[in-house]
Amino acid sequence: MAKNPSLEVVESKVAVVAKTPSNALHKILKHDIAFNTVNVFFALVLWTTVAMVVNSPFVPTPIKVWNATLRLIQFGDIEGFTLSKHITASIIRILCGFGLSCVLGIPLGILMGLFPKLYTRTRAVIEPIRFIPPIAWIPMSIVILVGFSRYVFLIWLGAFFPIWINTLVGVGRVNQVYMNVAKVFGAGKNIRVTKIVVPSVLPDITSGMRVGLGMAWMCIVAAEMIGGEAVGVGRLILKYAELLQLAPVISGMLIIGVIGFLMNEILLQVEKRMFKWRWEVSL
Amino acid sequence: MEMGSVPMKDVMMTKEKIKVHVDKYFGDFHVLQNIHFTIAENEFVCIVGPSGCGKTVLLQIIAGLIPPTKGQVTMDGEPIDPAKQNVSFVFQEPSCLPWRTLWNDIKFGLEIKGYSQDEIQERVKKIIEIVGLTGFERYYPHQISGGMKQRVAIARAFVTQPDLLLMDEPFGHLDAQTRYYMQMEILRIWEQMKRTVIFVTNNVEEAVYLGERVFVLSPPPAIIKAEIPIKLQRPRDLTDQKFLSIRKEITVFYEVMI
Amino acid sequence: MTDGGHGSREKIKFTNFSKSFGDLLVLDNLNFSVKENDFLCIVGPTGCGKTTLCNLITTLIPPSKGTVEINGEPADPRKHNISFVFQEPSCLPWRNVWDDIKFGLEIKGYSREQIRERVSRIIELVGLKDFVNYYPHQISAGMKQRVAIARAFVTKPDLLLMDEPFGQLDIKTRFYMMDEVLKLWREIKATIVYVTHNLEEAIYLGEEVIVLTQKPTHIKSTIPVDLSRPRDYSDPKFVEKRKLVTELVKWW
Repeated sequence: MAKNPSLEVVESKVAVVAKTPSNALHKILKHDIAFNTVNVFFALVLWTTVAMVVNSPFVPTPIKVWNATLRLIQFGDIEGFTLSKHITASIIRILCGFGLSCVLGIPLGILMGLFPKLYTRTRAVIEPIRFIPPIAWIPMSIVILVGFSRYVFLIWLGAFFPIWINTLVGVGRVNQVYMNVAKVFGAGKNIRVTKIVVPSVLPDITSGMRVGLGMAWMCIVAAEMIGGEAVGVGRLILKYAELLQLAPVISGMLIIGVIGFLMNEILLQVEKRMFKWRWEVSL
Repeated sequence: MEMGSVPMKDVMMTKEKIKVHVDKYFGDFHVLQNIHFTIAENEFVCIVGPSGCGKTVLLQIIAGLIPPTKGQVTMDGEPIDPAKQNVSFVFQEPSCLPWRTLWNDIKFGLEIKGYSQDEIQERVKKIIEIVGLTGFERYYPHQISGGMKQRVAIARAFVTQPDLLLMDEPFGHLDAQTRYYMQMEILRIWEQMKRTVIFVTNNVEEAVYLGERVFVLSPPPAIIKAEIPIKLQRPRDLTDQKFLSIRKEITVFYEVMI
Repeated sequence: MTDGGHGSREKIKFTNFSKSFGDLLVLDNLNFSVKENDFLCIVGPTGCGKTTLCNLITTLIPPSKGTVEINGEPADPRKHNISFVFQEPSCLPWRNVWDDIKFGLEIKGYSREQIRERVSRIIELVGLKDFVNYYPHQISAGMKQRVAIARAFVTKPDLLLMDEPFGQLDIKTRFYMMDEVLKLWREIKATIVYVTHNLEEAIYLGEEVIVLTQKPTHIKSTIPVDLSRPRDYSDPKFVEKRKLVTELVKWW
């Protein structure tokens, strides 16, 4: 008399096929890769054309930039620092600042999410500070801090607020039904936080982290341009700009862009694996 | 032959399990007015009423999720306390925790209540079989249909062998066919596991099909407008004349109140 | 198809209608027609491709094989008047009740006077006169569906498709809405195709009921419902019809 459960499997399988983007996405992606390759080619052609028409030493062609990149990799920069040294320096600064902002931002976000009054009653102090662009903090950081701590501070500023606010908002959006499930089973507040709030809010935390990382990357470059140390990708760009050698400058810019993109991709992939319980994947 | 002759059921209402006597205000708004009834052990009781009449509020008060303004709810003589007693709730919305597989979801209540790994293993395995979800233990909620999600919620509710099982329009969001199927299923599970059940619905046909007694709730300030015993044999026939006349009788109560 | 005294003109015709998604054959060779001003209900088991069928009928997706014709020509939303009432509330959140109902007329280029006349008439019919300035978030789910239905009827459609529009409403509202739809059908005269899982609903509403099979879906049976209106679900003739259809659907 029971309904054949294989019926439901068929239903659910069709539902999965219909819902999961991957099937359709795979087909689109294959075309996308082809399109992207062609578009990169067109972009390079366009760039070359513009450079040749303008015909100025300050607008190098892609080939010049490519050669500059090779030279940087082989011989390092004017002062002898290798490219990898620059990149490593920047990344270490990022990781420290970013790590610190996670350590502070996530617990604070959860706390203020659980006790909204903590947030609503301190907004007048927090919000104006939140909206000071990290770059505006640079002069003060130059005066008050030295060396490594300067960079870490600026990165922390950039990453902290997105992480903290995303976590805070995420806690507010936890589905009340899930909380009730736990409550009815007699779960106390602590258990509700660990078993319901935290798993619920994890996707918001990671997307906040991705935004924060992007902000941090932007801050580091600005900070390095102005800060004192001789290594760092931002510093690298500035060195060659001062010498009016634009090819290495553009090379540095592209390197920065690629690194930022890679960091974002890594986080995205981690997210996808962590959250296979969500079939909508955010970008 | 006034009592239904389902052999394993002993419907002598001797033991008073749940006693409800509450009033509820939200600010000035009088939602529940002097709601007063008792329920026997292992009884299956349905509460019907139009939308917005406070059925969900009443159920949440009984579950201990929100406090009554006046009065109290007792189980076996003690005030209801989810931390101390065994209560389960099946919500109207899908309540499967999205980040847990079906297996982990079903064991959630046992986890909170601190059962041993072995006990959990045994109980969850058994209930999965009873609700017919064998083979789906490692699936996530987004991979299964609405009917299956509710089966998970029901499994999770039954597996703790609760003293009281509350269901708030659990089949409301399912399509007609799945709903009919789930109604049969919930009866089958109940007859196998024997629990005290309070089932809230706005579907009179469903209430008459499932319940041994049906309470009709009026719009706020809600009172129990009627209490109707259903003495039909199981399995009940939706098209049987007696069934239809009881259904009509209750529906008339519905229409009369606006 | 019985000639129930309505216009015996064949309004909508499905010929060899099929749909596959890749290898999966969902709808298999459907052949049926709907007479003008008929009220046809389509029922089937879960997973019979009901939603796909609805999307196909309203030309939202194309069939793999076969045709659907309105008045003898291939169905075209720009040429013909097609309305669709969805299962979920489909009120446009940024439009109030009046603006929402006139949406179809707007798209089809009716004049302001025509719009005003038609919309005010239908708003009276559905009982939303006091709510014309309200926005969707301010009204109940039942009222939202009333708006969707008004919007569907106001264009005097050649084909009005409803996909279980009352599934998410509570029982009392549901019975009320069914009577509303019947009232509108009598007043405005449209050809209606109503898809549902609820057999009682199908028999209460339809002049005839088509029963579909499981996938690959084809027509199992067509049952005329020649009961007088208003219908009563406890009436023995109604019960008989319901039993008949239940047997045919054979859910399990």
